[in-house]
Amino acid sequence: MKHTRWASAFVLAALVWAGGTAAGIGIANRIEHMALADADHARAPAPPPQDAGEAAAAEQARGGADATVFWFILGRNSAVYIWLLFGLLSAGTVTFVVLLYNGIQLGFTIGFALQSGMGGGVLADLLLTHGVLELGAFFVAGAVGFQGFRLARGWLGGRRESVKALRLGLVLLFGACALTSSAAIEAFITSRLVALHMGNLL
Amino acid sequence: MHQWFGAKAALLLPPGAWLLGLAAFTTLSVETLFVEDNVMFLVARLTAYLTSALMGASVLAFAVLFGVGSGLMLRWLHGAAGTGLVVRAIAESTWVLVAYMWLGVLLLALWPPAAVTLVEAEQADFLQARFEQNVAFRWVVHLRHVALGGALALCVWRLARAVGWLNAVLAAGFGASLVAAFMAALGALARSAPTI
Repeated sequence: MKHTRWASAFVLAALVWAGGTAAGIGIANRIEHMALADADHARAPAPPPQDAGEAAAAEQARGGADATVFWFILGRNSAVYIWLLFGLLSAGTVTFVVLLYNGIQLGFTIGFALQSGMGGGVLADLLLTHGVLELGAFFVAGAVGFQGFRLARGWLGGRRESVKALRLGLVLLFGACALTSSAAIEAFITSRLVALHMGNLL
Repeated sequence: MHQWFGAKAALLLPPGAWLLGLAAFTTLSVETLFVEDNVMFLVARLTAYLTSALMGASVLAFAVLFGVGSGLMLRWLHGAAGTGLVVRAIAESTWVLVAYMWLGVLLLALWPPAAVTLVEAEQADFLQARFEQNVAFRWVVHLRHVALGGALALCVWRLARAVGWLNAVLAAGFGASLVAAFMAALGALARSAPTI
């Protein structure tokens, strides 16, 4: 695939995601607005304080829990990655919907986190540590998935398009490495940052 | 541009009609079920529309995957078989799914579901209960295997006219197995909808 085609498809994937995220934040704001108009919310009760024994047991169990979280995140993100590549078989439509859907989900998370009083710095701390690598991998898959539109158009126009130029083996290898790294960061580092920031918030 | 309106573009008519039916079915269902203007139903409406869009696009991709699998098997079994044969067979068999989808729209127009109330929505499986109560939803669920089986049978019949029954059955069986394996693998990876 030509470099310019890669770049424009990558930017398109990022734009669709960003559009979904903006929509998600907007919807989260609207939901909060409607909820406040409906009724006054009672604050959720704070969790009971942990004693030293419980904290030590939790710390000991954390190793196993982190590994479980790692495999869970890796499995789920791999599924999203494959769904994004599925655009190759559907003229890019699956890629578009999955990017938009996940963008909206992220927008919900950001919107509700901001409304709950979490600062922008804390949010960036929690999202960017693993998010840059993870989103980069998704945008690469999105860029490849969007090539499905070109393939479909080529087929309709009677032109032969080479699938080899997409370098799918390299894309899959890159995805496996990037998603494994980001899942490790999310499971072993971000989870500790979450615990740290939540402790500060409470 | 004229190439777009050629014979190949005509093959996009059945998937287009199916997608239109899916859009009509989703809109009718969502707009009659979630009428009230509140937070829970706003999220439910949004989720339903996104899920439907994802389902439409995924079915399109799975149909192509079925075609790739069938085509590869057919080329191996019967070297002369071309891509056009498989594409035509799938496109024509999609008319069964188009009929199924629009029958669902007709049933829904005749027996629209009652709007969900907030009290109902607080129960765990309120949507399932609503689906079981409504005639249209019940028949759409009952007929889904008939529609899929009919489409597959029509596809095999179309292929069989060109390459013989045994080759057609083996090719379609391989394509269907490939799709089933892919869906199972994705399900095992995600265990949920594709979200991050």
